Amino acid sequence: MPHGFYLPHALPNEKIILLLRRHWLVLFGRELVWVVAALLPIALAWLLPGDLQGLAENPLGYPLAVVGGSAYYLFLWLFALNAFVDYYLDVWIVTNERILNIEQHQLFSRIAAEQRLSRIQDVTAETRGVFATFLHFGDVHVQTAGEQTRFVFRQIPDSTAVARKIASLAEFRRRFEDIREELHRAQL
Amino acid sequence: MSLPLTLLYVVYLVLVGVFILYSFFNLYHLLRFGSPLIVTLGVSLLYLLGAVTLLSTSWAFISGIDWSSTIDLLAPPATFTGLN
Repeated sequence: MPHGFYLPHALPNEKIILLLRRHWLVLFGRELVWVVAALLPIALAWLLPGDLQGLAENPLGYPLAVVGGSAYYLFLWLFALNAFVDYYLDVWIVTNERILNIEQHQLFSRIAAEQRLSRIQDVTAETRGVFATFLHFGDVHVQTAGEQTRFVFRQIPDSTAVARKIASLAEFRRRFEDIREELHRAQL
Repeated sequence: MSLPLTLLYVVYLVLVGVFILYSFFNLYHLLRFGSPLIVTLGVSLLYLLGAVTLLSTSWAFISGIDWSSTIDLLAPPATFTGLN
């Protein structure tokens, strides 16, 4: 298995071909918010040094600043972890047998869907936006013949190449299963 | 009307409790559903290191405060805000 990824309920002889997560820029953008928020109090302290000294001498202001500042940074750290967990647990997997869509929506809300390659009908790559165009990432829409008719691989790197790969794998799988069925009929 | 400073300390402890609880939830999800293990373990350890650093730094400041004192809320504004 590439990257040591554990594939749950793996089929016999199943191998991971593509293991996809959102482009790193998505995580960077989410974490940047928390970095800026962490720098805000420091910037304020630098801009208002006089007020800071007054605060340190105040019997209520100082404890309030200490517990407030502590709680502020603790929760920023927690939100940064949450952003990473949300990014890292969204995974799209293409194996030699099926495609899997595993998305973590919130804590305690996880959706996992899968579909056989032979049931894929149409694959479309979509790239929108300045960053997506220059950094080559976007969405891949996979139309299937199953209960869940549409899989969306969101903000993945090289979406065009991924779409082409999935389409060729699906075509190969369909031909393989057609030949296997013909052989089976011939034996009967 | 005076406010015991301990109230502020209790509110802070409640917030720390919430922080610990949600940290546990996040780490549980990361370790259970994340893969490969080396990445999830690395991130978890880094997070715990950061959390311990923040909590110990906070404790260094908090332990220097006299929480048994009270604050007079009806004191004149200049005293309340510490401005001259």
